[in-house]
Amino acid sequence: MPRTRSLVPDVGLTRSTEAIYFRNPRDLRVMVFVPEDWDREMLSQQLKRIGCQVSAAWPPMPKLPDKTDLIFCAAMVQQASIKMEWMGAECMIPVIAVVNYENPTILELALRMGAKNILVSPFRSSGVLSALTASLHSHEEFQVLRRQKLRLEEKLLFAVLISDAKAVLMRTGSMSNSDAYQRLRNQAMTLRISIEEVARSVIDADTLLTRTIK
Amino acid sequence: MAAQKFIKVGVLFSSSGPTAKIETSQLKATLFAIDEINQAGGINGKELIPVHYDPSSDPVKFRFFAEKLILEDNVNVIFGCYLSSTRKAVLAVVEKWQRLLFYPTPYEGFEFSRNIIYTGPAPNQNSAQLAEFMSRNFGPRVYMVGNDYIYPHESNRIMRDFMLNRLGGANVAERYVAMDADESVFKDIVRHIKETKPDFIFSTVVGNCTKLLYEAYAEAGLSSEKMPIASLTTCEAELSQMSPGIANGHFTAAPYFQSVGTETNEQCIVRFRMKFGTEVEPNMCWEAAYFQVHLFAQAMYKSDSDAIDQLLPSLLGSEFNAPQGQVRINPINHHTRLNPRIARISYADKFEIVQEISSGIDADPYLLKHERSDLQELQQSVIDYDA
Repeated sequence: MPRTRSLVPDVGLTRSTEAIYFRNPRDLRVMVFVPEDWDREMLSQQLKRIGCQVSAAWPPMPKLPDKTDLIFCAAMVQQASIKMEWMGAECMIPVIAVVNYENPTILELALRMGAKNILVSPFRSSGVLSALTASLHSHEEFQVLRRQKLRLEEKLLFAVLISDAKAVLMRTGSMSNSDAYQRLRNQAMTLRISIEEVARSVIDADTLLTRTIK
Repeated sequence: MAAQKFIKVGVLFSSSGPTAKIETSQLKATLFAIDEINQAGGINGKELIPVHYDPSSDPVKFRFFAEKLILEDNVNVIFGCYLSSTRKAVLAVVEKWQRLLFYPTPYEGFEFSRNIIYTGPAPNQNSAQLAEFMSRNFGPRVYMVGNDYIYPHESNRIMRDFMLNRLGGANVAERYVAMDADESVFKDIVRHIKETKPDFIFSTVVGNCTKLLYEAYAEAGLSSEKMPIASLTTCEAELSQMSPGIANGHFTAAPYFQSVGTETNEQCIVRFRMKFGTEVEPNMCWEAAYFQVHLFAQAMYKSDSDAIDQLLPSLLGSEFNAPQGQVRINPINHHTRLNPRIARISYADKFEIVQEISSGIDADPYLLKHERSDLQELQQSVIDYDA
């Protein structure tokens, strides 16, 4: 179910059109990178009760098994220099850091790992599902925002490109703003290429010409 | 129950392992205080019986023996732990079974458990004063060396933040060594210190490593007058492991040194020597281990029970005239108001106190930034021998 609200006429949000916040944790494939003597069994058991498929290992593996949905990873000073490719702000899989000290050194390590949530050991059964839910949600939200940001950046770039190309046409072909745009569009349709590509060619040609004429 | 004529208490300090020396001094201090209480008639007529196990500096053994003390020996109160990893191990156990741990060691802060009473200094009671003192007297370029566990890493964070906020401040290097590191490791570090010429060295090495660091420093012919080592843990116990004069001129920050000039302290040391001889050197961890048993006994006189729910109300907020001066347990954070001091190791291998604050400072275990201005305000109440 997509999270965007559909454009159902104004009877208010019905159940089926509401954005889904709580995702079913059943069958999530969870990787647990936690030392055994940190009550790892307790965490794994609780995840299994919730319905996740759990694998556990220590120390963390540089390569994740295919199709991992969520990672629990211990943050400790002895591991501070270890950097896995699945760690960091850009990581595509949500990470929940597991700590046994709640001090700035350790919490900093947890955030550097790219953690979306932090769980404190010794574990209690309650708290695991909450941490899992919050991190899946904020990870998803983060991904949506990131895609939106990329799209906007692209659009902004195109807008600048088209306005530059229009300026070239207005100057060299002495046409109006809207004629310049029409010209770009027609050319794009004739050549079956995107309007951005036409714009780029116009700008390139202009740059080339003004440089040789000098 | 009322007819019971004794109270068993648990004691978990290591007699073997890399921190055996300092933990043995904590063990003897605990037994000494228990003996004093029993000599004075016990607690409301009941004799204290210590049950001690040797967990060999190992968190897994600490956890095991803590459960054994609770489940087999039926103790409600445990005195123990030096390394943070061992405190964390026992924390889980006392929280599970609702017992109480008294913890007499400097540590990195950022912890509270209803089931722990913290009687050693938090960073605002030793690190902050040491950072201010060293940068004022020697300069803000620090070389940091410590063992590779949480206490050194977090202590270094505080030191680094403090120095980087000072004009010309720098973190020259940060080195971490294993608990069982040998001479060659420290020789290498000292060679690097010689090359990089920091203003001072901040050491958070503990246990047997302490001796190796100071020895390597002395052997390399470095001058403690120009580039001293500053520590939060090097005390009389570690000094007794070195040959005489090795650590001369270096500094330590702590609430207690043998040289504290109070009558309470002098008498306490005399009584201890009569009972336990000269094998154990009284030190900051010894003192905390000693006074925390008295704080417990004082509270139990009132509650007449050592169960945590009965004991806490009379324990929290209570005070004691300890060898270091007056101490008090803060009811909110369970840490202790202490008397921060800085001492220089002098030529007779004694800690000569060079700075002290005339009234105690409450622990602030969740303090992130230690501001220089806050410390300078305190300077007014400092008796500075160094002037």
